[in-house]
Amino acid sequence: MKNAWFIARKDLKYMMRQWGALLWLFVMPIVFFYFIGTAMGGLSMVTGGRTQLAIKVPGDAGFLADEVIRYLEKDDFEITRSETDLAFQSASPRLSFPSNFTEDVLGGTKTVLELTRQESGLAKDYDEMRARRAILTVLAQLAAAEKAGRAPTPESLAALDEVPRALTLKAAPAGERLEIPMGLDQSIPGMMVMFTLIVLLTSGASTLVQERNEGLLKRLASTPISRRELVMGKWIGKMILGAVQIAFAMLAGSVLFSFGWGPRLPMILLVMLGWGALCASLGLWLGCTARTEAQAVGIGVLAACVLAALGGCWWPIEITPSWVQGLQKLVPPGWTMDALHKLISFRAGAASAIPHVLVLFAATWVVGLVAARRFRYE
Amino acid sequence: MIEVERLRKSYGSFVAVDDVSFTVQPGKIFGLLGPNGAGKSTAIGCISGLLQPTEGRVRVNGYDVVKEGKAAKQGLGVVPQELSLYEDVSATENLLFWGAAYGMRGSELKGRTHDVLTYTGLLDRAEEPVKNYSGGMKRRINFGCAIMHRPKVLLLDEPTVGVDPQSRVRLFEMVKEQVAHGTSVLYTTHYMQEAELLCDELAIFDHGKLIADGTLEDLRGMVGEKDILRLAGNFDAEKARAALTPLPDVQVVTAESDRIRLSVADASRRLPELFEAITRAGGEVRETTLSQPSLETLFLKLTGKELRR
Ligand SMILES: Nc1ncnc2c1ncn2[C@@H]1O[C@H](COP(=O)(O)OP(=O)(O)OP(=O)(O)O)[C@@H](O)[C@H]1O
Ligand SMILES: [Mg+2]
Repeated sequence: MKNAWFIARKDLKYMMRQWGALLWLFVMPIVFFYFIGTAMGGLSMVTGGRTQLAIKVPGDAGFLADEVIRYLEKDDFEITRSETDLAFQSASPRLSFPSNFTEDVLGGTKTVLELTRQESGLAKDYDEMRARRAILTVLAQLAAAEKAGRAPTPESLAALDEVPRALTLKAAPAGERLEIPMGLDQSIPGMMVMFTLIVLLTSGASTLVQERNEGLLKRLASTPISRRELVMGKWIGKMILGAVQIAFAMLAGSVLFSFGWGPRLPMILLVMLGWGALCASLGLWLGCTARTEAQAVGIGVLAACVLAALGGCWWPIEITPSWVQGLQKLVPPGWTMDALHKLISFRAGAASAIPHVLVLFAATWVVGLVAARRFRYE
Repeated sequence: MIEVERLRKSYGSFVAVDDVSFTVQPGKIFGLLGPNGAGKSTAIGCISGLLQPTEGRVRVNGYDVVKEGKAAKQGLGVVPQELSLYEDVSATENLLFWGAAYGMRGSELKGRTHDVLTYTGLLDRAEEPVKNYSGGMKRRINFGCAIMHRPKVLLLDEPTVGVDPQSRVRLFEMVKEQVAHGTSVLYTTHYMQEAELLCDELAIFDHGKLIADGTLEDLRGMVGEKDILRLAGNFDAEKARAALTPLPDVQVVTAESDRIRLSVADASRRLPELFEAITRAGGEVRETTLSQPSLETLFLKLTGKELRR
């Protein structure tokens, strides 16, 4: 074990010497967190649980405007009243009430609320859906008040709100949160998973190929370090490199993007440990199989990108057709992403990721054994 | 001490090392001399534990290389034929690595690294990456990596290929110093002069077989007083061979198209007789070359091949 540890330390050191590895490890993940995150519907909706909503309410909008706002707040909007017109115009999303809002609604005149959002896509649809829901609820209250023969006043509406509903719609994905992970919620776990795979398939594999082609493994064969210790050491070295990548990505996510990993952090760490271990085995296997460094890097980048796409690292798998979602279950990054989405975005219990962790460690073992059998000194 | 007993290594049906036995005593240099592809590196691979022998037994310092690999390898230093160094890092880093691979640690490792750098004459460039070194410097550090752990047995596989004369002299000195400390050295080469200069005992190796072995004197004796005579001209090699073979004390070594090699005692006096025989066979001699007996001629006589690449 002392020998394996020695090999692991040196392996890590030589992998970290390549500037390419450093770029993949420490720079590219941040760049991709940001670009993939912003490309997918904005940072604002995702960073906190609640969406900021700027509103403009003219003085004569009346009590129905307050009713609408109350329901918007219930639906996870954080309402801010802009101080100036300019501040309101630059906010996104923003909602403006017309003058005489209450009067017009009660008098049956058509009135228009204006919801504006800069980004398009799912986040916008989701905002729109919630705004509509707030308005429809207020209208339903009015109808109910009329049926009960009461005049529509703030008091009568508040009283109606206390009455239990015969029928309510509760739309929610599995777990406590409503949202499909978008923006940084998707890009930070997704890119972390992908970059761990890329780094171990490229740097991890190519250093092993290089050592073999330069006769270094052959020379190691004549030292008292056994084949077993050597293979084990190479695996541990790659595993540590993966752990460095994961730790860095998680820290960068927290510090630079204020990403919240949520209450399931220990289980998330266990899932990532399993993923790092599997990537180390895959890197070792590619290193034992590829003939040249260029081949190792080429296959590594290509395989990592394809597997990452199928596994749902680039975009949330929930928005893809069901046959794509079926494919996700077949590729290792898919197992990891599924577990992470459950733990981070859907706030499912820690136990929900136990099968994923078991599969990851089992695959680590199998791929590691295959790699060890393929290992050649020359 | 190295003991090789009836060693055989085959790749499929191809036999690279065939029934080879020899012993290298402590404090002695044993030379393995052979042309390209003779099986020298394969034999070294079997001794160093890289290759699994197909048959036979190898013991290093009394330990069986296959069954007691760790103990055998601990006392073994190998200088591989190809430079095997971490080219991107310094000589110091390389020495530290290979020393640590044999279990050296701490101040012992640091002190020994400094000593080996001094010893190989690389101290002033010790912190430069090895890829900036000249061929000779790389060979020296390649050697240095093998002696970090003070092995009692040293295997050198053509350590002087591509080396400038100064580095070569330094390498020879270093090998001799190791031997003076009681190390057993196995030295493979295809340079005859190196073998004559360095080795206490020699084995001539071809097609995986040991075709002659013994001390330098033993081998010189085998060459005897015969000279090697090369004849070239217009003749049919096979007819010339038929005409020359019956002559007393004449041995045809090789015969190909219009040139022929003979091993003849006292060749200069017998030239007329030989020319006449060829003329009778319908040929004509245009060129003659006479060489004095040496290991080179022994090699030629035994294998029918020139040693040099
Ligand atoms: N892995 C292998 N598979 C098949 N044949 C091999 C293998 N390794 C070596 N050989 C063959 O074994 C023979 C001996 O090779 P070896 O490298 O031992 O020769 P050598 O004497 O060291 O030659 P050189 O002076 O060129 O280094 C060669 O014919 C070579 O082609
Ligand atoms: Mg060789």
